[in-house]
Amino acid sequence: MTVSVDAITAKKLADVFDHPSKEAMLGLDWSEFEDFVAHVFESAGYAVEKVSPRPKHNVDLILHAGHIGGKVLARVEIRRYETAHIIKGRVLQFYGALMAQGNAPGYLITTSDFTKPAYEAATMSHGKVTLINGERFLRYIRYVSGTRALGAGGKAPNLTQPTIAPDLLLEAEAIPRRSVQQTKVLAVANNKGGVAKTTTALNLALVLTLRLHQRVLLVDCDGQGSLTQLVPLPKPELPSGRRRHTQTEAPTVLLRDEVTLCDYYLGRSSLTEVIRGTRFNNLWLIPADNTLTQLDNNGSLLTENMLGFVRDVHDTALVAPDGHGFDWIIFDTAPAQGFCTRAALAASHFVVMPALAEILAVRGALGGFQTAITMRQLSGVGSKVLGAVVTRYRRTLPAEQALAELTFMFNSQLSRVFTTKVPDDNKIERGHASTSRGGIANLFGLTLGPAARAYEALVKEILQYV
Amino acid sequence: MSSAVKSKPATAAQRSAAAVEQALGILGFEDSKRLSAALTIAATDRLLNDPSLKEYIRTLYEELAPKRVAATKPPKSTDVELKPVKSMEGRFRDPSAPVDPYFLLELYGPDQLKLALSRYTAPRLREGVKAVQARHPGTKPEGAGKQALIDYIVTILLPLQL
Repeated sequence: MTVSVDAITAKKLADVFDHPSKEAMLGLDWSEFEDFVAHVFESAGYAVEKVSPRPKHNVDLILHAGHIGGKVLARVEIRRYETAHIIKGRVLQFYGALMAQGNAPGYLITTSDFTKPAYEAATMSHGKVTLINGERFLRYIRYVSGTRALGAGGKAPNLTQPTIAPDLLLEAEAIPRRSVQQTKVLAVANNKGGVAKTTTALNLALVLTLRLHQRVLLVDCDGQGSLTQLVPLPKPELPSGRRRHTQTEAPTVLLRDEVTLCDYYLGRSSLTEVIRGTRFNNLWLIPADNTLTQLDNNGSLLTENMLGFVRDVHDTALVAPDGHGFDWIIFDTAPAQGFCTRAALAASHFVVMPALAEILAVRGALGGFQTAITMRQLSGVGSKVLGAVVTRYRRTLPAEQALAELTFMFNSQLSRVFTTKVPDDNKIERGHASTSRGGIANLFGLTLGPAARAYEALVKEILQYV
Repeated sequence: MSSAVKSKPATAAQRSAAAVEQALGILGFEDSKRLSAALTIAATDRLLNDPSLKEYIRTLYEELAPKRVAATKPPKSTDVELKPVKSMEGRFRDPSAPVDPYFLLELYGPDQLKLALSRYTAPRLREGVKAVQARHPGTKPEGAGKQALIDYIVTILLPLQL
C-alpha cells in the first residue's frame, strides 16, 4: 500500500516535518510515526510502499525508484523509542530480513540511539545496514525539508530532483575537516543581490592579508565573476620581458585559456590547479566566469560534486603555488542559492551575511540563514552563521526599523548583527572602478575611506568569534 | 537657610560691564562708553613700559576665554547590545509581520523586554499593542506616546513571567 493519511494526520505530520524535534516525533503514536517516516522519504524523492500489516520480516517501508513497483532502492525498519537503545540482536535480525528479500540495502531508523555492538554489527554488514539514530534522522529531515523548500537554483520547489539518500549524511560526516586553528573557511552569503557580498569578501581578504599578514585564498563562487574582475591579477610578462599590459589597461580580465572554478567542477582541473596568484603576495584567487552560471543552471552538478568540493577544500594538500597553506579561505557566493553557493556553505566553517538595513534585504538574509542551516545538516558541523554585517548604512528611521528586525532575527538563532556597520562610501566604488581599470591605488589603503576603515573594525570583531 | 543654587561664572561681557560700572563710580563719570574707550587707550599706553600690567592683562585674557563643555551623549538604545536568553533555532519570524511582543519576551526575557521594544517606532509599537489587546481585551495604554505604549506592553506581559 502507498502512504495515505487523513487530513488531520497529514497536517500533524507536516507540522513535525517543518519543525522537527525529538519531542515532536515522540508526540506521534507508533502508527503516525511510521507514516511520518514515510512522508520524509516521499519528500526525499522516493516512492514509498508501506508494508502493512507488519510481517515477520522486520521491514516497515519499501523505498522504490520512481513509482511503487519500480526498482527497490532500500528497505526501512522503524523503531520509535524514547530512551532505550537498540541492541545488536535487532540489527542482525534486520540484516537477516534484508538478505532474505533481495539485494537492496536497509535503513534502521530510531528516535533514540544504538548500542556500540549494534553499530559494530552494522559496520560488519558492509553497507547492507545503515543505522540512523535520532540525531541523524533529525538532520536528514531538516536537510530534505530545506533542500526541497529551496528547489534547484533556489527558485522554486522541485520534486523531480534525484532522491536524497540518508547515506549522503554519512558520507558528509566522514569527510575530514581542516581545524579552524589551521585554516578558517568563511562564506560570504545572502540570498539577496546587491548587498555588497563581493565588496565584503574582497575587503575582508584585503584587511586580513595587508594588515594582518594572513595568507588568504579568495574563491569566486558567483558566475557573474565580479570578484574575479576586482582582484588585481599579476601583470603577465611577454617572453621578451616587455609588459603585456600598461597600468591603465585591464589585466584583471581573464584570458580565454585561463582555468576557472568551472573547470574544476567539470573535472578538467584540480582545485589546486585553478588557483591564481594576485598582485598581493599573500592573496590568491580561484576565478569564475559565466560558464559557472551555465553549469549551475543546467542541473548537471550532483550531490557527489558538492561532497567532492567539500572534500577538496578541506584537503590539506590544497596549498598555494608557493607550497604553503592558507590561513583563510573565503567564498564569495552568488545571490541565488544554487549549487555552487550551497557547496560553498557546506564547505565553510563560518558564514558572514552582508545585509542592507531595509526590509527586503532582511528577508533575503532570512533565506540565506535557512540555507546555511540546511547545509549544516549534511555533516552536522560548520556553516555557523557568525552574524550579519550591515552595509551601505545610512541612519534613517526605516533603516533603524529594518536593523531592529535583523537583530531580532539573528539573535533568535543565537547569532548577531555585528556592531560595525559599513557606511555608504563612494570611495569603495571609486576603488572598484580603479581596480577594474588595472590600478590598485584606490582599492585599499592609500585612500582609506570610512567603509574601508569599517571593514578593518569588522575583521577585529569577526576574530572574536572564530 | 543656605542657598543650594550654584551661580554660573560671569561671562566676559558681564565682567566688562561690571568693571566699567565700578570705574564710573571711582572717577565720578557718567558716560560708560567714553570711559571704556579711555580705559583701553590708557592701558595700551602703559602696556609697553609696565611688565606687571602686561602680565595682569594676559592673565585676564586667559580667564575670559570661552569655556567649552564636553558634549556627553547618552548612549542610544540601539547601541546597547541585546542578549538572547533562548535559542529558537530553525524557527524564524517573518520580518515584515506585525510586532510580536510575546516573541520578544521569549527571546530576551523580562529584563530586556523594554530595551527590545524601544527599538521600534511608536507606529510599529501600536501593532504590538494590538497583539497584546487581542489576548487581554479591555486593557489599553495610558497614552499614545512611545513610552506609554512600551509601559503598557511591559505592564501586561511581565506578570505573565511571574
